[in-house]
Amino acid sequence: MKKSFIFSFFLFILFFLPVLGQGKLQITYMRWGDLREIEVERKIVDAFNQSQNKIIVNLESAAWGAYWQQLQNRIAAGNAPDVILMDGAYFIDLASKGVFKDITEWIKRDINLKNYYYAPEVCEWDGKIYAMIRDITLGGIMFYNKDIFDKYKVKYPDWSWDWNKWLEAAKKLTIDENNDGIPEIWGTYVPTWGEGGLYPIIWSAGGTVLSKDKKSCTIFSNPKSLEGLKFMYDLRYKYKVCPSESFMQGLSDPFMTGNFATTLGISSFIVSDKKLPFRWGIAPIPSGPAGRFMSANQLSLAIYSKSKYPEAAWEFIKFATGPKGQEIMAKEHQAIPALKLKTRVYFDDPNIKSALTIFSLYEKKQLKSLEFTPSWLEWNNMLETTLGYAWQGKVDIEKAAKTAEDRVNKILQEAWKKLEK
Amino acid sequence: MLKKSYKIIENIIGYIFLSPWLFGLIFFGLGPLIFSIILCFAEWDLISPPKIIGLGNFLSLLQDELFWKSLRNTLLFTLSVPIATFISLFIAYLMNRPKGIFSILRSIYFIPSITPAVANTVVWVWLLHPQVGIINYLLRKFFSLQGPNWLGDPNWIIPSLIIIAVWGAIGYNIVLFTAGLQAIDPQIYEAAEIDGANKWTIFFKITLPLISPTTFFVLVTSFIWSFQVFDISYIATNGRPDEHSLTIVYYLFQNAFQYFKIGKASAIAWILTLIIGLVTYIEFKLEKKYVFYQ
Repeated sequence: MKKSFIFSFFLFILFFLPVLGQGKLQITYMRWGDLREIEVERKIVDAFNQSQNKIIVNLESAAWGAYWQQLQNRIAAGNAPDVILMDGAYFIDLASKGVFKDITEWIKRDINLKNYYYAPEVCEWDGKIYAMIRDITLGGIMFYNKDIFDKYKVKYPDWSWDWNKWLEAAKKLTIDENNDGIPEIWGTYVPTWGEGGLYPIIWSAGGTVLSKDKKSCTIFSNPKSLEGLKFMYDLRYKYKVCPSESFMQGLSDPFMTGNFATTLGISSFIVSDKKLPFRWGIAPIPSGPAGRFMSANQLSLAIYSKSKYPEAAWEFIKFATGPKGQEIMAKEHQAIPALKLKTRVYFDDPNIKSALTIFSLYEKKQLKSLEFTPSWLEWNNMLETTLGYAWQGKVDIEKAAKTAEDRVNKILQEAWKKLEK
Repeated sequence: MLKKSYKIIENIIGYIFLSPWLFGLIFFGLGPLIFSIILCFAEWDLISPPKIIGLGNFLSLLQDELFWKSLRNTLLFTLSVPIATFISLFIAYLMNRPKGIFSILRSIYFIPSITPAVANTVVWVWLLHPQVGIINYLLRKFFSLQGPNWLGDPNWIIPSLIIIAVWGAIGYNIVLFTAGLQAIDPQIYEAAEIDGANKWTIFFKITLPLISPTTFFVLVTSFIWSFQVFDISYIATNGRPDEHSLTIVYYLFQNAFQYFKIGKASAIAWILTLIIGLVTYIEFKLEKKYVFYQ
């Protein structure tokens, strides 16, 4: 009797569950990220689902590389997710092909963009708004290992640091304990990828990566850019305070090993650095001949142009970029909120607090975006690969920069030409 | 009359049994194949409609430095085939004894083949690490040699990839060779011994010719696989190969799924198909001369 009751109860639930669910609109939201980032994203989605009873958002996720493949394939098949997380690397490529819904009117109606750190590069194309700004990642910030600095009695990096002071400290903190010619502790590490170190160093030297119209590369033809590259090269091969790239073997965040006194990196490292077994802090990039420049890479949320429920998607975007969504994101240190009201929440942590002053450089235009263009990923890969010869110590930096510039120019030329067609 | 309709029914039943395969072949094999031939001559980013551009993709590949580099790297990498074949034949020959211990050894040698290439490669990346890797440690300890920076030095990266590939391939090849060796009639060996042939003569005049069908099979399939190498290069270089470790299938992957140049990627795929076809054709030509079937 009891059994048959339970059975019929389940049958009842099974039967009516879909009917109950049908009252709500179901939309899909896709983003990339590692486990930790997705975990936080789920909290935001859950909060939205509970905040109202008309729309259910289903979160889907993939790793960075797979995300773009899946997205492109689903766009081709005509069933892309309703809400799409966007990065500058692909924004122009997709927006110019009509993948996103034009939300200019909705933004005007519902959102005051003045309340946001807003980057048109990842939201606007051809005078129309296709995406809503979501968050910010700082690049080129300096992580330093307090244990190493204390042990060798060197003063922590601060706002007074310039390239000379940096070099001085790095020399003191490159330590070969067993005299085998390979240091156990390295004074510094500058990533050779754009966002992490390459661009901030070039900018701080007074150089540029692309020309103003973004149609050609200037890392060789602008002598100041070359100066920045030379500094990065000298850290490795003249002063030997930074390991060569072949030594690193693709380690993305070497700071975690505890063998580096300072490294440059991006703010998304902070989430995982929180659990490190040594004491650490954050400082701004040391100021170069032209000053102090770092990168601010912003992400945005867009609506798929063929979405069946664009209004529902817009409701979710408003929530995610509104105070509640941005607060969850900030509290969990997933990314720095673009909503000015909640930005401080992110920095409310003893280790990260100092980064708030770094963030104030945003208003002073000392945090630059990553020079997005069509086919960005392609030329960026090419630039990093070609300069890679120099970082491995195989070619001198001038030669590598010249080759890289030529190659990037070729890709850029083709990309812009295609777009103009 | 009755016979005829029975035959028709039999035919229909035959096709019904075949239909799942035919369906798969047409929709998931032949269809995409033909589509990709068309795409070779088009420009397509998966989103906007494809545009026919004639031979444009092929012409741009001819001038594409990276394409030639990837082709060169792949050809160098195929050196792994003769090396792996030789080593596996050697080990299979040594282990071709009925004792129990050898069947255990054979199982051990087979383990790399059933481990995913990704796992193999990750382990090798650590073994080959210039500072903390065990290989360079052993070189230093026992030979007082400073080992190279295997995966970091442009000159050593392809040899390193070959080492990884050979290690992964020999287990499977050993099984094939063992089967081939055990199929040889022992009477032939006995006859040769009675005739006074020494071990070397027996190996070169009897064993080698008699297992030549196996050797042929191993060579053909391994060449095809090695032209398609992707995973090793992808893992060993952390997904960011430079020009020294870029293989042709990797370059195809980059163009298709990172830059979304489907037309160019299709052109690369078909060039690769032609190359593999040519190599296999040559192998089959040589088969007539060197392979003996019992």
